[in-house]
This record gives sequence, structure tokens and C-alpha cells, in this order.
Amino acid sequence: MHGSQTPHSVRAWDLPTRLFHWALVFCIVSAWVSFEYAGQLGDPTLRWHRWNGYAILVLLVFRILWGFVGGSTSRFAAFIRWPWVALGYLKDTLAGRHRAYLGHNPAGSWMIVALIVVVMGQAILGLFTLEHNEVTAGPLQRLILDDEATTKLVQTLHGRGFYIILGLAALHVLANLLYQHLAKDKLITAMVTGHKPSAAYEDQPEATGGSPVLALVCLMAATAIVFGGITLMGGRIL
Amino acid sequence: MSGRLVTFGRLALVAAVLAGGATAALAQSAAIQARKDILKTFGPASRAPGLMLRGEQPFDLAAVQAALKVFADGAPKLPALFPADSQTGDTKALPLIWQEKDKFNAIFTKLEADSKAAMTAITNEATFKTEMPKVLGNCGTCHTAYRAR
Ligand code: HEC
Ligand code: HEM
Repeated sequence: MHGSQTPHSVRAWDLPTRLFHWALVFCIVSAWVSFEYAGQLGDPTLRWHRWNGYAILVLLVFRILWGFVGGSTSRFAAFIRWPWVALGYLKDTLAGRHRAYLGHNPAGSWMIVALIVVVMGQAILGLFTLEHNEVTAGPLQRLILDDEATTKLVQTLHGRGFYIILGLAALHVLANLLYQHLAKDKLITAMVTGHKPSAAYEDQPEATGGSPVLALVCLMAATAIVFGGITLMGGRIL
Repeated sequence: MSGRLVTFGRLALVAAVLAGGATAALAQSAAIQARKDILKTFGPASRAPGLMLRGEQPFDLAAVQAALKVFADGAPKLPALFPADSQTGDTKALPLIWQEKDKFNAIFTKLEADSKAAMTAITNEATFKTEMPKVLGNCGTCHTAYRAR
């Protein structure tokens, strides 16, 4: 970790953004494991899967808040660019004219948006999902308890949604591996250590980190929004 | 004479093949239908206990006992209803079942044993909350591995 913080390295990501990222990766893997092996793990009522889902919701809401008040590379305003800018960037990169960014590059930024939206959608669907043997359900399933068609639809979408996440994540990982090893732009290392070698980046020369106190406030606000929201909607958190 | 015999022989052969095929097809769909008929009683039976576990319906010991009886009676009949020739047709049963038949059957055995144990173990809402998931867990364990989604 300290090895990369040579005098020539600059901050790329603040700690809250990195923690968010790796926690989300863990939770998505664990969401799958906790459903697929629920029986073997002695958790037929999917308690772990459900709390894992709440954790994902809290993480995502946190990240959205952090996108407004977080470190300079974490803010949406810093990385969401017009789609045609992303296409132009992609064209240049494929033509061998790689332009280095300290934060998200214009194409990668859309992948981040897509991942946040799709994982959020999956988690919200989970809140309404009825386990296929009706053993357990998300806290908001009771709102559509008597609507069999909608219940069935939500169940199917929540089951299929995981494959969309898997597809996006595979693309995301593949792109990062290509940058790391072919383009020699160490994006994966940067998401671990938070640092990149200083260079003539297109977006910012060096990131400023967000305030840790603000990060804590965002986390508490996210927790309140998720559990308060579910409760206010008439959910029963089990 | 021999020409007619040959013709008759051919007809008989074709008829026999057709009859045999039809019988096999019927037998096959009969096994699929028979297992589905039993499993179709499992679905509604697990519904009420599920609602009770989620707190959507008040605990009702008689309804729980009735559901357990449906599982305990049906489970021992099911292993025989997955013969080797019932892998295809209108079925969601996955081929993996016939690659590890013993493991598959063992879950039905466990469902029966767990249901019977729960019949005596469940006496009130507290024991229901701890014991019922063990029984119903067998449904998901089997379905995630052996039933097409
Ligand atoms: C050992 C494996 C196994 C266990 C245990 C098991 N099932 Fe199934 N279940 C299956 C298979 C395989 C099918 C698909 C049958 C087919 O389509 O031929 C199925 C199908 C079903 C169906 C659909 C029937 C239809 O065609 O409409 C329901 C409902 C069902 N199971 C409920 C349950 C419930 C509830 C439990 C627990 C009490 C349970 N099952 C336990 C293997 C199992
Ligand atoms: C983004 C986060 C989530 C992911 C990646 C995820 C993933 C999955 C997966 C892969 C399945 C298996 C579906 C199938 O194969 O049919 C599943 C089932 C399920 N999930 Fe989630 N889940 C998430 C969030 C949630 C949340 C927040 C809840 C509710 C609190 C929830 C409740 C359920 C339930 C009840 C099932 C059982 C559905 C069934 O039996 O068909 N999930 N989830």
C-alpha cells in the first residue's frame, strides 16, 4: 500500500469510495451464494440474503450521496459526460490513441452509472420478491401479497436480474483488466491503493479526498433512508 | 402365401412398434403427471406456514400439522416417480437428477423425516418458528439444484 505512495504518485480515489467499491463486490458475490446455497448454509429463510440486500441498498444510497459531496473524482459532476463524448473516447482508445484519466474515463463512467442503476433495481425488486416456495419474502412483498401476477413477475425479474448484473460486471472487470495489463493504466491498483502515478491526466491532476466526517454522515443518512423508507412504505423488516 | 405372410409380418411389426412407443410415451407422461400431482399439493400446503413465518397470518397449529402431514405422506412416494425414462417431456426436472439419483432421493427422505420430527416438535408458535424452516428448507435445497428455473 505504501509502496505506491512515492513522491510521484497522486491520490485518485478517497477511502470511502474504495471501501464502498470493495464492499459492494463482496455483497454481490455473497447475494448469490446466500441464495444458491441457502439450504446447505442452514439458512432456509434467506435471512443472510435479505440483510445482505439491505446492506447493498445502504451502500448504493451512500454512493449516490457521496456522488454529490465526496472526493473530487467521486462526484457525478466530475465524471458523467455526454454519451457522444464517451463514444468519441472509445473510438480514440480503440484506434490506439489512449487518453489517460485520473478518475473515471468518459466510457467507464457510463458503466458505473449502469451498474449502480441495475444493482439498485435488483435490490429494490428483492424487497418485493416472494421466495418460490413462499417460505420467505422481502419486506415489501406484503404490499402486493394478493396480486399473483405482479408477484410472479417480480420473482422472475429478480431471478433474471442477477444475470444482467453478472454480464455488466464481467464487462467491467474485463475492461479494467485490459487497462491494467495492456494499456498500462493501473486502474485496479488505483481502486485498491487510492493512488496513481502523476501524469498529464485529461480530467484532474490530483484528486482531493472527501471529508471522513461527511462520509460518516452520508452512511448514517443512507441507513436512515433505506430502513426508514421501507418502514414508511409499510414494510415489515424480518 | 409367403408374400401375404411377409406383409402381415411387416404390419404386425409396425403396429407393435407403434403400440410399444405409445405405451412408453404414456408411461413416461404418467410418471411425470403423477409426481406433479403430488408436488402440486405441496405448493398450497407450504403457503399458509410461509405466511405465518412472515407474520402475515396468525399462527394456527392445526394448519401447520395438516401441511406437515401432506409432506410426510407425499415425500416417500416421490422417488419412484422419477424413472429413467421420464427425463424429457413436459417437465422441469433437470437431467442432474439421474446423474446423482441417490443424493436427490435423500432429500425426499430428509423431507419426510424432518416433517415427521416437526409434527411432534412443533407445539406452539416459538417451536414453529425454529422447526418449520428446517422442513421447508428442503424444498429450496432441492429446487435450486434439480429443478429448471
Ligand atoms: C428432492 C427434490 C424435491 C423436494 C425435496 C421438493 N421438490 Fe418440489 N419439485 C421437484 C422437482 C424435480 C419438480 C419438477 C417436477 C416436474 O416438473 O416434473 C418440483 C416441482 C414442484 C412444484 C410444481 C408442480 C407443478 O408442476 O405444478 C411445486 C409447487 C413444488 N415442487 C413444491 C414443493 C414444496 C412446497 C416442497 C417442500 C415441502 C418441495 N416441492 C420439495 C423436486 C423437489
Ligand atoms: C442487489 C442485490 C441483490 C442481488 C444481487 C440478489 C440476488 C438474488 C439471486 C441471484 C436470487 C436467485 C433467484 C433465482 O435464481 O430465482 C435471489 C433470490 C431472492 N432474493 Fe435477492 N438479491 C438482491 C437483493 C435482495 C433483497 C434486498 C431482498 C429482500 C430483502 C431479496 C430477496 C430475495 C428473495 C426472497 C429471493 C427468493 C426468490 C425465489 O425463490 O425465486 N434479494 N436474489
